[in-house]
Amino acid sequence: MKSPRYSVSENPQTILRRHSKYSLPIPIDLIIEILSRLPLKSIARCRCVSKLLASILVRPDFTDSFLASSLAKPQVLFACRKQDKNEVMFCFSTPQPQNPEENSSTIVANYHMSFPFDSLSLCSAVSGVVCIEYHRILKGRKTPRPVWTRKRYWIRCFLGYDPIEKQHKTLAMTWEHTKAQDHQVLTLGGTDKLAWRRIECGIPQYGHPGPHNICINGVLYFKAQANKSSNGDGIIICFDVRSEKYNFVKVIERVVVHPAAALVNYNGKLASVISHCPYLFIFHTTRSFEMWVLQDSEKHEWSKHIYILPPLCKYISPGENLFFVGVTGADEIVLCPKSLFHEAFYVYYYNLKKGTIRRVEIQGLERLEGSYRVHTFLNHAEDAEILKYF
Amino acid sequence: MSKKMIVLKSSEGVSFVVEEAVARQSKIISFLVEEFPDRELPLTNMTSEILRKTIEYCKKHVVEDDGGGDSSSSSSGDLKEWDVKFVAEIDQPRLMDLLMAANYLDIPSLLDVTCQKVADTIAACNDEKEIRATFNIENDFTEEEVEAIRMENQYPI
Repeated sequence: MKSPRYSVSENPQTILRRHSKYSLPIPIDLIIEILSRLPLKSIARCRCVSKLLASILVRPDFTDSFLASSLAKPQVLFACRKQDKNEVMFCFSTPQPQNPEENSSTIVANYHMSFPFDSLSLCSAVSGVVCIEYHRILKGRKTPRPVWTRKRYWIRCFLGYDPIEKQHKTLAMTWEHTKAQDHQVLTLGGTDKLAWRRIECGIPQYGHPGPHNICINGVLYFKAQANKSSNGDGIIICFDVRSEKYNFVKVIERVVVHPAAALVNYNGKLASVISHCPYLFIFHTTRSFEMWVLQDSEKHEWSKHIYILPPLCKYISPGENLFFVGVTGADEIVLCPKSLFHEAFYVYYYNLKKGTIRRVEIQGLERLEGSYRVHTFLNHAEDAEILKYF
Repeated sequence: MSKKMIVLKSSEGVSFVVEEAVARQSKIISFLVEEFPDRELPLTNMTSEILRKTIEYCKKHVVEDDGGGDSSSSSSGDLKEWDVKFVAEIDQPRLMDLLMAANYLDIPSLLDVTCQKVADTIAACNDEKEIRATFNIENDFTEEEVEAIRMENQYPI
């Protein structure tokens, strides 16, 4: 908490009115302190309460304080996609355990929203916005479609966040196995009409971008394949969201860019995590995995770490498998399944330092009927700026 | 050794005799006690009711020095539970007064619990009408304006 606030609102109308005989209006700083503790859903409601309250909710000191408070209590976001003809995406979240010692075995998920979903895949979630190929954002509004110079190509779309300018941008491109082209960027927010801009790639040609990607400190990373003239090896593409400049990092071993390897944010560094046998996925018999951490992107330097898993057979049955989701601030690797049926849904936390595993049951998802594909995102924070986006 | 007592006076002129250690949880009172020892401290913007509540909170949270180092009168889990009960029993207008008192007297932990209680109350409201009714806020929007914001929000309200 900051020091006491004595500034009194300039406006004679009180915002949160008090009844007592000696009432004074509540200082704006205190109102911001209170509102920063609310979920985004309540902020959206508060916009409709009064003009004065609505005016506070667009102030940069409020949006900064709200984002800081949200980042301090990150959430795990579950986007559950129904697997039938009328596809709908349901979004839930739970608090992300901050302290490995907490050891709570169940957490109740809060329901956020649902929206019709007709695209191929969900690609990324950054600061409260989720990007879905090719044109839908978590708020439930579509962005305009890019206009492609050539038809009948595959399209890939990524979402990045520039923490300096506080801007979300989407990067889209057409691609085939050896070539990605027609790179376009769309900046979300601002008062101008949303429009895609073409940008230069500026690095040796690459193909097969993504779909795995992660945005860390304003740099969007995704796997790709260098073209044959540069030996066809796997590379990691680095896209600086602010300058919109491309770069790339070579990998020492192909396993780093294997389709089953997950890109994660390991204490602010890019890392790639992949299971050891069998088949590079995590089964009940899997006993170890490796993590490659990018130490220096200019020198293409990586460090390799091997971790031993405790027996998983008491948690998962033969035929089931888990996927790497990411790393929490408390050095825990998060694993969870990608499917949800009627049974309980568990998230697993593997402590990198102690080599121990704990599992947390997520309650509240059972209200979904049928079978679902679950996309899990860590470090989900809400950003009140997105209310201004559209 | 007898404990040092200080006198706080509410806006109605009612005097409250409080142990210094209890009152010192307020950074403002702590400062005033050092600057003006042995003086009655007038708190002209606090009613007796709110001052009594504030003192009740401070008494519960006082850290007593029993000679063997600092020890709180309650464990932190118990205190948290007590805090939740404490703010739950206060009605909305008095909660706002208590929040202002915590801000004025600079008692960070009381300010934190009261801010959180107000936030929880807003979060529990199902729509903007309920928020207005709970906090007695006048609606200065037209129905059309509210509808326009709702469209803009495109968020499940």
